[in-house]
Amino acid sequence: MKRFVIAPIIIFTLIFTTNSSSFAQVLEGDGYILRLGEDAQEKTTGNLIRQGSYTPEALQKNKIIYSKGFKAILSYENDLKNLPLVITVSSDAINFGEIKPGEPITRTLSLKMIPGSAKGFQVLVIEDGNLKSEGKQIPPTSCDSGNCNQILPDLWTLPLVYGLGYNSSDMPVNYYKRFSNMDLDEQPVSIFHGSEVNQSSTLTYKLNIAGNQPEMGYQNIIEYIISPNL
Amino acid sequence: MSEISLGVYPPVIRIKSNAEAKVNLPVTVLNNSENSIQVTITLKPFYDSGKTDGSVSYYAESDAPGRDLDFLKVVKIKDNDQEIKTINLYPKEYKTLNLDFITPKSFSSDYYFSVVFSLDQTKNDSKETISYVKPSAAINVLLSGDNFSSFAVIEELKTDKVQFSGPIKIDLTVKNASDHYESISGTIVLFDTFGNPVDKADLSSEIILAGATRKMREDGSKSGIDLGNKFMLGLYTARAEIKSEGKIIKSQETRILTVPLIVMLIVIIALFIILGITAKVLKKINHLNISNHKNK
Repeated sequence: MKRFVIAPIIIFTLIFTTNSSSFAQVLEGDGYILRLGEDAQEKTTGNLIRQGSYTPEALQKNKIIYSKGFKAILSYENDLKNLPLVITVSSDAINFGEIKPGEPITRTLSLKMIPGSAKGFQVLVIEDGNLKSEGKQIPPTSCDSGNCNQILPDLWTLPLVYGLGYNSSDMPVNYYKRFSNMDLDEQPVSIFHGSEVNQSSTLTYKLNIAGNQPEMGYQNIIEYIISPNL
Repeated sequence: MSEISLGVYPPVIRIKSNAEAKVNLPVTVLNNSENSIQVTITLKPFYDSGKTDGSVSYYAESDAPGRDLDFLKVVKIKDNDQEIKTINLYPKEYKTLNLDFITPKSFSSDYYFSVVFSLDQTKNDSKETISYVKPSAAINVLLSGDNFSSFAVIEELKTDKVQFSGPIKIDLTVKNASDHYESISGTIVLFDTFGNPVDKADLSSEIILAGATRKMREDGSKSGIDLGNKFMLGLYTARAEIKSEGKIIKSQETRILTVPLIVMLIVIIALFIILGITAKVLKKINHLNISNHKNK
């Protein structure tokens, strides 16, 4: 009962009596931290995760749980890295703006990863479908040769070759693939793997549309999944 | 448009369980971004990718096995005993949730699935063309029945039979021929011609899924297995032993002849020189003998 009386009083007091620019309040509960106000927000220091800042009870080395009927091992027994598995993307949207036929546009997306263990990780990618708008679609690229797909890259430089594709930092310059597509019932495709902390990769999106493509705002969602190696 | 940073812990959970056991385990999701985000939670079955490096693959939607999908219907992510499918996280906030399920009645083979936390993305009407980015982080869960025998085998112990310099590079591939995941470790010992051990490599412990194959690595190494040193000469034997639960289950040997190339070249050149000198000396002796004989 006390909690229901005290909590609103605290919140009310904090909101109306404190200058927000100097205000810093941390409320900590069972398994969560609630940070209010600008000053309470931590700034990244170059290491995305600082030891000591993220120490939930579950974030423990060599965690072995025995309970009625089962045994569970969280992470790895001899893993010296006690870090979460993290993916960071430089933007939550790639905006091509208002696109015009025959004028290819490129945009970049940076990825940064923390492996979570010494076993490493991979990043897989899949789109929910082609760029779509009101029943119209922009198809994926098939590159200059017509032969690139979601697995095999190929050269794409001709201005009359249309579609959406991407180049990743392990591919030669001007080589592109299309995205794996859920609408075509395809699997996510691995685009990057590594094992170092703060390992990074850059993707270049390329979009070109044909003269007969209606000029509208097309959209899709592309998912990047970081998955730990076993 | 803003930077998004999403994390999970632990990266992998391994469970050995009796039938119909009530499993409840902590899983943590964290928002390392500067903005609040909404995160959705989904479950995806996976299988070994076949790349022998411990990476996994996800099924296309229509290919996911019905058995796995049926099991995932009973797997819940709970917050304070309430099942949730989404969660809001403030900047730099983490939240520990519970992975909750009852194990199946029978365990003829394992279940492998990811708990995937994703930025909740929705498309908005716009005159501009936008490709939304959806970062996701997966916790890989392995569920196996308790009590079974190891069926791991050494699929390949490979090295060049003749090597011209050390160290000796060895490839060891292990196959898990059972229906359950196994944690496999081991050692490779190098013996000289006289049977004396000259070097040893401890193998990194690897989790191998049912039916999958893994290329073993030396503990602490990112590449393969190297034994010995640069200058090696003679016939060596490499013995590989693999272990499951600390017990040796299989062993295999291979022999390697090492002859340092430079040493070999020097020996050959020296031989030619010696032979050449010997031939000349013999020729002279022969010539002298013939002259003496004529004079007599």
